[in-house]
Amino acid sequence: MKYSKHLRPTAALIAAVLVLAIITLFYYHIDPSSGWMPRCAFKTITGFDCPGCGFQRALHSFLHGNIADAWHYNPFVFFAIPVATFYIIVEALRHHHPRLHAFALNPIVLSIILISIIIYWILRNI
Amino acid sequence: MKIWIFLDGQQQGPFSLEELLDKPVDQNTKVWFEGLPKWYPAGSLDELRPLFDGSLAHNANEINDTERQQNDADNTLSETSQLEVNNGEVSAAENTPTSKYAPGTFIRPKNLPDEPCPPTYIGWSIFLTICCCSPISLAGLVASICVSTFYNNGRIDRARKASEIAAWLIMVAIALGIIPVMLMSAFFGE
Repeated sequence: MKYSKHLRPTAALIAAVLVLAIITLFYYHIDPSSGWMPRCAFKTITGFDCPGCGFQRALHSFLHGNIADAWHYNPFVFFAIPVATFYIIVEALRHHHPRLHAFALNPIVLSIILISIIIYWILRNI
Repeated sequence: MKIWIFLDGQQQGPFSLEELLDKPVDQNTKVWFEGLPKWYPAGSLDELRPLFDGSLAHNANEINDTERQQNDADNTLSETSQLEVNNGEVSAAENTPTSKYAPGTFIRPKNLPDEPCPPTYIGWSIFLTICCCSPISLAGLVASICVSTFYNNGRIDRARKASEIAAWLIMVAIALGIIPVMLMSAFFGE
């Protein structure tokens, strides 16, 4: 029971909603392809795209309803954000749903996720 | 449903749900029945909820049966990788309940550690792969896989260490994602 009190669900939920609201407002009003924006360190140093490159443009397009553009900039985001959210929730609830946790955090499933990210990374630089 | 319980330092059972009413079972008592990978606290299992909400009536049993069937289906899907199926062989593993009633085949729970799995931070690793330094986030992802692998092999100490490493890698990934942004705003900013 050592870990059970680390996450206060209500506080975590409020923080998550606040952060999401700020991110949504920010990327709705600012177009990442013009002007100064956070840049990917990996791309600046090596010149290659990382799995997350294009994510800011994708988010901006998505918030303006251009889902096709968003997909073009970075299709990986469409999978990564739901999967990441799912895993964060499952981990937070692992004391109440131990079997869901055991199923979702199976080493085989996790390895498949890791391998598909690496394959996507290689393919987008070819 | 045949339920084993762990009371006074020894395993007892099997009992039916109704018989458990007469036992000093509370939410924290460790219980096991077939299909579970290890002992769980009674309070965390849907099947045992009728014990604690006082609704152990006839209709509660019916609902329970349907829930159990669903859970059985889930279990066969989910836990095939963690469970070993023995053909009629009685396991002598210490602290592991065995069913003498199952015909032919039974599922032996692996010796999973008694305490819950340390956090793997897998969700954060995946999330940071998109927005911060990817190579380090991927290393964090590998550490997360190690946590769950070690845990499933019963090595709780190594799982805990891997969990710490994963947490550090995530913090480094966040730092390396933010520091370049600051540097760039200093040198290339408007």
